[in-house]
Amino acid sequence: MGKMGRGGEPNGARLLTLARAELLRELLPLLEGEARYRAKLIANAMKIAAREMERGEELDKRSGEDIAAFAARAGLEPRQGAAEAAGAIRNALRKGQLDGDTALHELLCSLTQRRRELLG
Amino acid sequence: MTATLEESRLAERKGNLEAFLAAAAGAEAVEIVDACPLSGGAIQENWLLDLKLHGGTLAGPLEAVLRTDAPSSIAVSRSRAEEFALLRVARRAGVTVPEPLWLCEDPAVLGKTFYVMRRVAGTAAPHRLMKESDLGGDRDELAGRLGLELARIHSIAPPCEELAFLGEPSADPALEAVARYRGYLDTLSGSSLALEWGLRWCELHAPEPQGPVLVHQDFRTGNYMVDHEGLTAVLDWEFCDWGDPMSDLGWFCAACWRYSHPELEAGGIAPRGPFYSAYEAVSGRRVNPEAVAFWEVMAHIRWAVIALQQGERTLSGGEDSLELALTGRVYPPDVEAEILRRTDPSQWES
Repeated sequence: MGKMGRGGEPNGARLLTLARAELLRELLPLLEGEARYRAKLIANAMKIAAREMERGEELDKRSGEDIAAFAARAGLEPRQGAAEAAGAIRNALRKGQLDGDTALHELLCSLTQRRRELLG
Repeated sequence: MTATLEESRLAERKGNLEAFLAAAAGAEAVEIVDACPLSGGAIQENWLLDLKLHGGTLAGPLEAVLRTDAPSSIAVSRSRAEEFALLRVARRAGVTVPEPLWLCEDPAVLGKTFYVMRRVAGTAAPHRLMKESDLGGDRDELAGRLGLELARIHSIAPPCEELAFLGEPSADPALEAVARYRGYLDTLSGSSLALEWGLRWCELHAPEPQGPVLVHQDFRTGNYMVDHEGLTAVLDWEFCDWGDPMSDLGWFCAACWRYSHPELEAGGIAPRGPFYSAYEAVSGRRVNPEAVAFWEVMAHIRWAVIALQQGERTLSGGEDSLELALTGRVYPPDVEAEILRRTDPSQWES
């Protein structure tokens, strides 16, 4: 499947990207005040949604793997499954078992950075 | 009367409201000449009122603001009656606030509690303060004035009969905040590990508590009004509590409230110097930069938690608000990056 769709059928991300471009190009110049502000909010939501459709799954998967790998390396239980591993890291943080941990800080910076990438 | 008023929810209650205002003002009659809803404020519903008072000590035209609860209110926010009391106490302490005029707790008038205050000229819009360098007067002087205002707010201390609704002050507001935010995070699905990291750092690095004093808890650029001369009013009193005075300084200086001027560390309008100097001179309290730095980390955590709660209102809360949804989605990652930057492993050694 192509990045933007297949067989002549544009996918959701492509539709959102085009819709946003048209909103900004054709409609925004006609708006002012509160309506203009609302249109910008809508455009921002469309941008984030399109990026998430394109890259969200891949970034989530990488983040989940990194979280599980950290939990395993740190000997935390449970270490399987991203949500469970994240819960184990949270509990260890609260108990003071990961104070100032350099590897955890690096992990958290990269998780945050991946979420920021979807925001543009 | 404008179309706005005729079509508004106030229209059918106009007679009730005029009768209440006349009695409260000691006037023979009060006429609502115009009423216009104010947008903004995720929590309250505000109206601009143009009044004409016949008789009494305030006879003549009066520009006012009516403030009531909006349909969607949040539990942590003070009630309008409490906010009215806070405004009165703050005004007596010399804080520049809109003059609180009349409180109405009788649901027969508007269907809910409301109060009326005198209207203040100026703007609070951060984007205008960022762009228009002549707004607010000389910016160092404005920062100094804000330091003075904050010191006067902090001159209010418990016990205070009129503010009994604030309850007993916490013995350690920093550690209590850590516990409270962990509690909030536990109500959200998923784990906010960067915030957990920041909270653990806060738990280990909490400064010696100061106070307790009255803390505004939302004293920042965007919540005070200015004209071209300078400050005209400190607004948004709904999050007040007893607490540590340094928490308000940290909130004001936090990077998330400097908007497009991160280099101007006092609220995006000036360097810290004039803000701190005036605060120290008026309060007699020394500003400890380490304590403020701590409260800036806490400020970012608090803002991230608030943003997530706003986002959550569009999920489990079922509210269809794009603005709230974007707040929950857009702000937390940047705020978390700032928290992680300020609490990197080298900051855990002391």
